[in-house]
Amino acid sequence: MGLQGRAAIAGYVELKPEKNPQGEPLSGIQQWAQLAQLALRDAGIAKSEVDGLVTSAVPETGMFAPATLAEYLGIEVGFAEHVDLGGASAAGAVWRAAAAIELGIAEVVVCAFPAGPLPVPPEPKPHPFPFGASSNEYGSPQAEFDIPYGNLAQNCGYAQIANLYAARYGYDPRALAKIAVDQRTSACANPDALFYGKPLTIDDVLNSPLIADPIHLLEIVMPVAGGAAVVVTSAERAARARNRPVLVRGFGERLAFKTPTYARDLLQTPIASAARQAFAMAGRTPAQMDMASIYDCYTITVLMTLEDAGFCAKGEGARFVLEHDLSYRGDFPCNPHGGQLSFGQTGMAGGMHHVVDATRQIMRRAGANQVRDCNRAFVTGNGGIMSEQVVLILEGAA
Amino acid sequence: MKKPLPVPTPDTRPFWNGLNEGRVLLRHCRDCDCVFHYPRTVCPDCLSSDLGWRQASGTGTLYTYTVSRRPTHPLFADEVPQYLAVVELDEGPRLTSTLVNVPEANITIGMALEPVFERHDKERITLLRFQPANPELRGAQAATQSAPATSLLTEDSLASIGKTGEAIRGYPVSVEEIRRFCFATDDLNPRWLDPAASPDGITAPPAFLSIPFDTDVPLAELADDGVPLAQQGLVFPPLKARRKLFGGYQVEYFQPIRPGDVLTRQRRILDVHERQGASGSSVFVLIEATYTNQRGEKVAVEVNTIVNR
Repeated sequence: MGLQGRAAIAGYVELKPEKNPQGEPLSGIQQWAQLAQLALRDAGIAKSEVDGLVTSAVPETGMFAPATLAEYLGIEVGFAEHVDLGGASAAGAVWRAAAAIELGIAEVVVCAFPAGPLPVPPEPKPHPFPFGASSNEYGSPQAEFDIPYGNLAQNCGYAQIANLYAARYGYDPRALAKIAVDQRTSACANPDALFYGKPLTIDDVLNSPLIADPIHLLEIVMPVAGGAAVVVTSAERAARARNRPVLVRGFGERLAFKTPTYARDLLQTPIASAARQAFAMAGRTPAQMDMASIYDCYTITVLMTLEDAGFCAKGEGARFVLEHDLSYRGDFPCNPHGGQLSFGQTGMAGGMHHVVDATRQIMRRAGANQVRDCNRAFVTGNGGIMSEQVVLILEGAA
Repeated sequence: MKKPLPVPTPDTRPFWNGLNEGRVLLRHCRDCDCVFHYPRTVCPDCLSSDLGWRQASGTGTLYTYTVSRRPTHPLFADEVPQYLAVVELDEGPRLTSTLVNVPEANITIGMALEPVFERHDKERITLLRFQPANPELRGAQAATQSAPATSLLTEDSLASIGKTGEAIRGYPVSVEEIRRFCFATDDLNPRWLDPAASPDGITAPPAFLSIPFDTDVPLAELADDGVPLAQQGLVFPPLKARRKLFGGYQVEYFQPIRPGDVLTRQRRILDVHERQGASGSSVFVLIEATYTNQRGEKVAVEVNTIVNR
């Protein structure tokens, strides 16, 4: 069952995150084209070989996004996907691309996630999503049962999960803070990171303002502009490309709710079954991973992922974090480029950060942040409020 | 934008009607005998559409919560800190709500809760909030910031709410004055300028409303900010603030204004409230002005918000 490891990531691009982006803004379509161009160049694969694309929503084309992109890029594809999984979209895109390649319906698939500022139209329109990730459209369950109580945006949902976790398993704020601190150590070796040159201590995190109890400001990502893309192709084609092929060996995907209120058990994250499936498909165990690239919108997400994916027992996450060095040079490298907490949260490209970070390490292109002997990576995507989660097991070709 | 309230759909209407009557109704599946929330047209357990309604006890326990110390949206800034809760009803289903009538220190996961029906009569909607079932745990929500260290209010500030000023007559509205206003604002709509454009003759543009009350004064009678020192008919609360900022303006029109009209304006203090922010205190003063014409007809009601710092 599942992938046989016959598809691989052959190239990538990740734009430097910017808090105050410079230059003329490009449309979503233009950004998509730019990312595709850069990722294909990185792979050393010609545009004429592209026969598949995976995208998430494109701002200028609410409908028919894949066809519009194919037309703009001048490509004809046999595989076109629009993935709508929030921060899990990028990881979701990669396994879909790998599956299409193993099915033999595509050979070169571009998965791009732009996240740059958009040009202001001559006649500005109202914001398309006035309540962010919650829909206030007539007939939307969120509009009727959640938004009127102020239950919207991301911070509070994650905080509700963290408080429930605390009530059942206990809560060591210093362990949670250490996740952000270790990732900052990695970011301080990475000049591309938003928080490069700004070391952090556990006390700094705990002294930052409480935003939604028990989550502090410095346990939350900072949204910035950016963009990232990968090229997925067959293992054979990847072997003739420019970089070490990074095989997609296993994946898992789970989602069951939008708003945490309606989750069956908020402490059993979707990662648990997604990781079980991914490890089984890859024929690997958590102990065999050389690094983890865990979607880190909040520190609690990392802690619960470590537990539910099987790196430690349930309720033991805090001890695991305190006993290990999670930085790139540590005994359990987790988000060695800084993670979104310290690299910057590049909107819809944020999920791709974790795919790219593992790819960069396995291709041995991580420079000062290179993890030694890095061949296997555990990668997660996370959308909504731990409500849609994807796991990838990536492995370098021998 | 107003704070969003639920807009019921035909299939959820009984739930909201129930809340209006102080009852919590849950969907019940006659096929698999489960109850669920929110209301759906199919059972999320077995996908049956053989559904009825059951009245729930309304009581439950706190499944989880957070204290949101920043507004989740600017429209909810007045509710901070929000006690955002997931409540598990005794019958099983969970719902989104907030906790009220409880000091922060008394909130614990698993605590027993009872419903508080918050009626919004104008919209005919009732929101379902919760308070501790144990009366001993109830109490006022602690303020996030301790009492304002430097309040700009005086003892008489709040007592001035409702105070009404003298009714002032403006100078008569004339064709020439309307023309001057239109040219100055570059508004060349024939409705304001061309007597032949409408059988009733010209009307004044809406923004003309306060013009008949702007009487010219010598320079010496202007304050530093250019506003006349003497403000006839203006009532204002005594404050310790030094600066005024324009904080918003809304107006509702009832009658057109025509040449020959003589308007009367009467102002009153609608509200005074203080907000503490990172940069200190601001006092919001809302002044309502009612305009009537010489026939005693209400022409317009405006509300000016003035931020005082």
